Amino acid sequence: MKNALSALLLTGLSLVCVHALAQDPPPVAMRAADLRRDLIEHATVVVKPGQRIDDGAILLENGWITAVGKSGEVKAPAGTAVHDAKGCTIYPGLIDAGLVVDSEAAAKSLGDDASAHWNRKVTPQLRVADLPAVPAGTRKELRDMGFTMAAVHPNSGIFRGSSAVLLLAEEDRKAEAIVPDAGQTVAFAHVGDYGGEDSKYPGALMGAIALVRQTLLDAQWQKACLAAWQASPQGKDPPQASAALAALQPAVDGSQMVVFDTPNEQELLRAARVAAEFKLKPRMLGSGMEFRRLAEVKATGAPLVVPVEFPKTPDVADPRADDGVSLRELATWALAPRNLKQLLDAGVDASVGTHRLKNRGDFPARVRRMMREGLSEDELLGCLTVRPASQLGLAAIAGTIEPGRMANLMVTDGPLFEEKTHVLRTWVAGTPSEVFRPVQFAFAGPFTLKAEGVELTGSIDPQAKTVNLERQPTAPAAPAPVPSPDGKTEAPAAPAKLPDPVKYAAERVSFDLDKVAFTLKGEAFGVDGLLRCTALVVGDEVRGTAETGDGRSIAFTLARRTPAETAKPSETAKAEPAKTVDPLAFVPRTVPLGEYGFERPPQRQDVLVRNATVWTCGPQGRLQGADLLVVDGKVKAVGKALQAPAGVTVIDATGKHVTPGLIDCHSHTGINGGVNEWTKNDTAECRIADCIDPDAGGWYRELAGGLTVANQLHGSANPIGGQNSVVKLKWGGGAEDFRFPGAIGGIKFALGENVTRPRNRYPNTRMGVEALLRDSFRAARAYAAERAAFDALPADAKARTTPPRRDLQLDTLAEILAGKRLVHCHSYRQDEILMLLRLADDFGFTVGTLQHVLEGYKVADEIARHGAGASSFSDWWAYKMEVMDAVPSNGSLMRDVGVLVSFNSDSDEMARRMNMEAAKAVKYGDCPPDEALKFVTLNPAKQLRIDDRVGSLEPGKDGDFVIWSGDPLSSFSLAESTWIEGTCLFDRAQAQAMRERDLKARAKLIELAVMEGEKSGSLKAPEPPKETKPPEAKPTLLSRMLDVRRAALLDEVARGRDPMSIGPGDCGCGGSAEGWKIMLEGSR
Amino acid sequence: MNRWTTLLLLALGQPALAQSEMPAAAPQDTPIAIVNARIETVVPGAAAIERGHVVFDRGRIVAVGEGEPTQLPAGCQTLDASGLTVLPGYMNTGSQLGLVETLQVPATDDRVEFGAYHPEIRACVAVNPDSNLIPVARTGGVLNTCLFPQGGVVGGHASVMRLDGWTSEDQTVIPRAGLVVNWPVTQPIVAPWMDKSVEDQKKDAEKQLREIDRFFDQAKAWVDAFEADPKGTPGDLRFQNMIEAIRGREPVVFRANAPGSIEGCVLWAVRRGLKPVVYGGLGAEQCVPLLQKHGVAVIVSGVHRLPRRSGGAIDEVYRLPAQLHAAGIPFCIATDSEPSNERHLPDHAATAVAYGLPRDAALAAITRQPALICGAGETLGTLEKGKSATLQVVSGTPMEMTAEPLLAFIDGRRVDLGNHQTRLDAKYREKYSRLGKLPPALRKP
Repeated sequence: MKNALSALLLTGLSLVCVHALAQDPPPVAMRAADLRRDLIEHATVVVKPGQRIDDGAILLENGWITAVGKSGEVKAPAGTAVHDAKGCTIYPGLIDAGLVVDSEAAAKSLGDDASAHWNRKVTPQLRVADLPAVPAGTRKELRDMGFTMAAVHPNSGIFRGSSAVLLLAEEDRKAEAIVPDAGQTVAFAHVGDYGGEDSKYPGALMGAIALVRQTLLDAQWQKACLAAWQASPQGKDPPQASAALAALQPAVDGSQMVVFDTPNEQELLRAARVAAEFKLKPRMLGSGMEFRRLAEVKATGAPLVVPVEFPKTPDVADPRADDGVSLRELATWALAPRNLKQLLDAGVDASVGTHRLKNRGDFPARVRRMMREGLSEDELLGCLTVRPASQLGLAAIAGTIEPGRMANLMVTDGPLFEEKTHVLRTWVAGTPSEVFRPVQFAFAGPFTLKAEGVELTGSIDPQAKTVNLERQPTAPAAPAPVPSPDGKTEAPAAPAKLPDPVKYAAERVSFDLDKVAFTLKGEAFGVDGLLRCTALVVGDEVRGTAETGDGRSIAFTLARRTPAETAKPSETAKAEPAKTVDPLAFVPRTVPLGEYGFERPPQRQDVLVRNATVWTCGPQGRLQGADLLVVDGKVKAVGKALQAPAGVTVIDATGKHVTPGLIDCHSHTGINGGVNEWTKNDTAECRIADCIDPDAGGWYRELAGGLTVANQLHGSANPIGGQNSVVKLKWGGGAEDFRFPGAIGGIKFALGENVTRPRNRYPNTRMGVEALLRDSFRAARAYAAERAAFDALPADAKARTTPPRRDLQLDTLAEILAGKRLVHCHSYRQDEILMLLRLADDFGFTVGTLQHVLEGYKVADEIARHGAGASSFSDWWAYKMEVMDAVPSNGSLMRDVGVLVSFNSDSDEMARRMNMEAAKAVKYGDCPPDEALKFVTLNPAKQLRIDDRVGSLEPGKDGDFVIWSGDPLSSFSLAESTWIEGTCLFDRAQAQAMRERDLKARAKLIELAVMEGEKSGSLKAPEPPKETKPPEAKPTLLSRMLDVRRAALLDEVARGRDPMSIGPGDCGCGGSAEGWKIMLEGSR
Repeated sequence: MNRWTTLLLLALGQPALAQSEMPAAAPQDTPIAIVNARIETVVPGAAAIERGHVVFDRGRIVAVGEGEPTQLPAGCQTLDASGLTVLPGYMNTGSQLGLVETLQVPATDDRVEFGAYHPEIRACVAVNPDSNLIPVARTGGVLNTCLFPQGGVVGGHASVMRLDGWTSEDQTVIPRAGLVVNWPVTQPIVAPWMDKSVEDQKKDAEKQLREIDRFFDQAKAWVDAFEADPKGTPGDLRFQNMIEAIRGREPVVFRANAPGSIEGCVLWAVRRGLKPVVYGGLGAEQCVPLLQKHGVAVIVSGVHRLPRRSGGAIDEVYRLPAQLHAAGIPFCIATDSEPSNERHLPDHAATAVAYGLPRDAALAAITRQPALICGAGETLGTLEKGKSATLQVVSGTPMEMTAEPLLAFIDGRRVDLGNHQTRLDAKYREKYSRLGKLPPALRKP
C-alpha cells in the first residue's frame, strides 16, 4: 500500500487500483472478486467548507471518490453497493496534523549504533514510518471522532526523526504511511534543568538551540566533505559515516519540512528564527498560546498546527490559595479557547492537531468550546480538512469530497461536533467502519402503562437507556387493586393526605431497533419477584409482556401521555441568542499579556524636559535648571532655555533631576530555559540572545527603577560560559526588539570556586582553570588558521579539499582572539584576576570586563595597565571563601587607580535600584557624585562598547533618560518616568492606573473561574504529564537528594521568594546530580 | 565626611587602640556630652531637636534636650557635633551576626541545628564575638541585633545582643527574647522544581501542622505538670525552655511570608494563649484586621525583596511598611537573610520612605520598634534619660545612603567603627601610594 500510494503521489495519477498487492498472500481457495464500489445517497454532503449539497450522493470506487452530485444524478455502475444515508451529513474525513507517538525506545536503540550522533538526543534518522503502526486502539479512538488521516510525529529528543502521514485504517496493514518522510521533527528539549539521571548536555534551552545549530551545520559540512572526497578521493580518508547527518540532508537542502514542536509562543518564534537562519521549511506544532504574540507569530509565516488543549480552570475559590495566580495566567486561561479563531482572523495558516491533549477523547468537547467562543463550523472544518491537507502537501488527494480525492469520509447525524451529533461511520480509503449505531426506538417521553389491574405512569428515554415508572398514590388503605375494565382513571383520593408516589426504575435496559427489554421489581405490578419485560413499538404505542417469576405473562401497553413536563433544557449553550456583548471584553488585551502590559504600543515623541537638574554624565557635567530636548528618539540638545520645536511634548521638571537611562552590566533578568548551560566546562556555542524572554515582569520592575539597558549574562557554572546579550528594556516589544543592535558580542567566563566545584570534570583547581583556558585558546587559534588557509585556496583546490568543520564553540573563541568579542569574566581573587590578564596578554586580546572582581582593588594597577573594565558589586561579600576580602571601596579605589569601573546588580531585585548602588561609591569611596553616577551609566556603556549610543545625555546619542523625583543618589528619590529613544516606557502614574486595571480584571477573572468551578489543577501551559514513579520503599540517593533540594527550596519560599522565580542552582547545589552529591556528603 | 571624622577624632581622641574590633573600655569611664547636634530622640510623638544635647554617664543617658545642657557631670568630655545628627543605634531583628562567618563554608555555620524541634537552644551561646562580620555591621550604625537561630520548625530562642564586648556573654543583652517558629508553607506550590503533587503537599502541610500542635500540646502539659509539682515532674530540657513562651510571657516569633501563613500562625497562637510576632511579613497588608485585633507586631525582614508572586505590584514590598504604618500595626524593619550585609538596615528603611513611609516612622522602625518588639524597649531604642547610651553620631540625613556614622557608643562606650574592610582599604591605598598611582589627596590615613 505504501509503495503504491507513494508512487501515486509522485506520478500524480488520480485513480489507481490499490488492491491485490504483492504482499498479499497467495489465495488458499477461490480467488475472490473484490468489488469496491459504494454509492452513498440522500445525504447532506459537505464538499468542503462553505459548499454543501443537499440530498447529495457520493460514488466511491477502489478507495477513491469518483463522482459527487445530487442523488439520482450520480450514476453508479452495476454491482455498486448503495447506502441510503438519509438524515446524515457527510464531511471530508478529518486530518489530525499533530498526532504524537512515543518514540523513546526506538530513539534509544538508535543511539547505540556506530553511526549514531554523539549526542543521544540527536536521532534524525528515526522514521515514524519504520516504527510499528500507530496502535489500533489509537486509530480507532481517532476514527471514532471522524479522523481518517494523521501526520504522526516522534516525541523523543531534540532531532526526533521523520514524521509520517498515515491512514487511520482499521487493519494494521492498511494503516501504513502514505507519506513516509513528512517532516523532520525538532524540539529544543533540555531536560537537565532540574537535575536527574539524564542531566547531560544540553541542560538549558540555549544549549539545545546551540546543538540544533551545530548539528545543521554538521549536516551541511558532511555533504561538502563527501563532495570533496568524491571529487578527489586520493590520499584522503572517506568522510566519517553518520546516519544522523545523512538523514538530515533533505531537511537542510529544503526538500523536507522541519516540524518544530514548540511548547509556547516564544519557542515558536525562536524556532522560526532558526528556520530562517538555515532556510528550512518549517511547520510548527503549536502550543495554544500563540494569541499572546499574535502579530509576531503571524509574521513568521510558518504553517501552524494548533492544539485544542486549554489551561485548566484555576482553583481560586479560596482567596488565600489564589496567591500564585497572576492576571497573565488568568487571562491566558480565559482567552486560550479563542486562540485558533484569532489566528485564523489574523490570516495565519493554521490547522488543528491532537498533540498536547492529555486525553484525546476530549477533542470534541474542546472544539465545541472553541465554537462557543466564536469559531464557525466552516472554519473548524477547514482546520481539520483542507488546511492540514495543504500543509502536508496532500491537497490534491485529501481534504475535500471531490472526484479524485481519497475516499476518506466522516458520516454524522448532525452538524459537526455539536453536542448531540454522533459520528456514525468513517470511511478510510473506501473502507467503512462503524462507529455509532443510533437507537431507533421511536417512542420516548412520558407514558401511561396499563396492564391487567395495573396503571402506572412513567417515562422512557432511549438515548439515556432509562425506563422509569411510578405509582401515583391512591386513597389510603386501598384494598387490592380493583380491576377497572372500562379503563377509566380512578377518581383521585383526598389530595391532602396523599403520600409520595412510589418509584420503580427499570434495570438491565437494552434497546434494539424497535424493541426494548428491561427488568422491573414485581411489586410494581403487585406480584412477587422480578418481572422480565420485553416490548415493541407498534404504531403509536408500545406493546409488551412481563414474565413473572412463577411463569405467568402479563401483557401491558404504554400509551403516550400528554407531555406535562417540558423537555429538559439543553445544556448546550450553542443556541444562545447572538452575542452582542463579549463576556471577556473586560480582559485587557495587552502586550505582554497580563500585568502592566500595554494595550497600545507606547509611541515615540519629541520631548522637551524643562528646568531640571540634568546629570549629563558627559562633557557638560551636571546642569542646574536645564532643559533636555529629544527629537526622533535622539538627544538633540541639553542646555538652558532651549527652543521648543513645534509639536514637541513639554514636561515641566522643575525641582526634578534627569539622568541617562541606567545600565546594568550584569543581569540575569528575562532569560528563558536556564541561565547556566552547566553540563560542560566550555559552552561558548550557547547564546543568551536565543533565549530572551520579553514577557518577564522583571523588565518592567527594572524600568521602574530607571534601568534602560542590561547585559544579560550566562551563569558562572563553567570556565567558558555562553555568549551574552545586550538588551534595551523595550517592554511591550518582542525578543528581537530588545536586542541592542550593533552591540559587540561578548561571552561569559568564570574562574574560582564555582567552576572548580563539580568533582567529576576538569578543572578542579585554579591551576586547571588556567590550563583549560590556554588549551581552548590554543585550539581556537589553530582553528582560525585552518579556516583562513582553506578560505585562501583557489576555487579548484577548494573543491578538492576537505573543508574544515565549522565549530561554533571555537568560532566564538576565535572571535575573541580577533578582538571581535568581549570577555566578561566572573572573578574574585587577585591571583585569578592576574592569571586571566596574563593569559589575555599572551593571546593578544583585551579582557572586556572583569565581573564582580571583588579583589580588584588589590591589583587595580594591573587591571588598569591591561585595560580591562571592572564591573563590581558595590558591597556584597562573605557569602563564600573567595569573597572574604571584598571591600565596599573596591569600585572607588580601582577608579582612583585608573580602572574603568561600573557597578552591577546580578540580581533582579537590586537591578531596580542601581542608583542606590552608585551612591555607595560616594558613601564608601568618597567618589564625586557625578563620577559615581557614571558607574551605572557611562562606564558600563563604555565597557560594553555602546557608549556611542547610550550612557550619557549628549547630542546625537539615544534619547534614553530618567526623570527622578529628586537627587538620583538619594535613597529617598524615585524614578518618575523612564524613556527609551523618546518613548516613555514607564511612568509612575500610568503604572498605578495599569495596576488598578489589572486588579479589576483579575478579580473578574477569578470570579469567572470560581463560577466555572471546574475541578482543581494547575494553570500552567499544558505540558506532557510528568511520569509518576511508584513510591519507593527505601530512600535512594536520588530520593534523598530530592528531599534535601525540596526542603531547601521550600525554605526559600517560606522566606518569601516567588516559587516561579526559583531556577536551577538555587538550592545551592548547582542543580546537578554531582552538586547534590557534594551537598549530601558535605552534610555528613 | 573625612572632614567630620577628623574633627571628631580631634575632639575625642583615638579610641583605646588603633586596631579595629577592639572592644571598648567597660564600663564607660568618662561622662560625655554631645552638644550642638541635631537630635533624633525617636521618642513617640516628639519631634527631632534641631539643636540640642545628649549627656551620658556610666552607660546611661543622663540628659537629653534642646540647647546647652544645664549641668554636666564632673570630668565630662564635651563634643561639639554641629551639623551632625545624634540618634539611637540601629537594631536588626532576625540577625545572624556571629552565628556564621562564610555562608558557603559549613564549618563556619552555626545557624541551623539538627532536627525540627529545638526550643532548648539559644542564639547567644554560639556567637563568635570576634567575627569579622560584626564590626562591618557596626560601621553601618547597627549597634544591636536580635539574633535568630535559623532552620527547624521550632528553631530556638532569639537573643538580643549588643555589638561590643570581649565575650559572647558581654555581648548578650537578653538571652531569650523570643521563641522562633518557622511556620510551614501551607499553600501548595506549583513550579517546575516542585516534584510533589498539590495533594501530597497539602498532606505534608497538614502533617506538619499536626506535629506542631502535638509538640505544643506536650509542652503545655509538661508546663502544667511542672508548675503543679516541680519536683515530681521529670525534667525535659526542651519544655523547660518553653515555660515563658507557653505562658505568653515570651513572644513566639513566627516566620510567615504569605497571607495564609500569617493568618494561620496568628490564629493558632492566639487560640493557645501565646504572644505571636510575625517575622518576614510578606502579605501582612492583607491581614490587617486580624493583626489589629490581636495587636500582633510584624517584623518586615527585608524591604528589598521582589514581589511575592510574579503578578504582584512592582512596589509590593517597598510599600509594605507604609501600609502597615497607615493601618496602625506595630512593625519594625529588618534586613533579609544575608548576614554579611546587615549594614543595609537603614537602606531598607530609606526605600520604605521613598514609597510613602514617613521618615520618623522609618527611623523608629529600625530603632525603637525593634527594641520594643524584642523586649528591650526599657533600655534601648530611643534617646531618653535613664536609657542605655547606645547611640550614633551621623553625618548627613539619617538613613540617606551617603549618611555615615562617625561615632558610635554602646552603653556609653565609644566603639571603633573600623573593620576588616577598612583595614584592607588602608593597606591597598598604601600600596598604590607607594607605587605613586594614587594622588596624595586620595590617600586615606
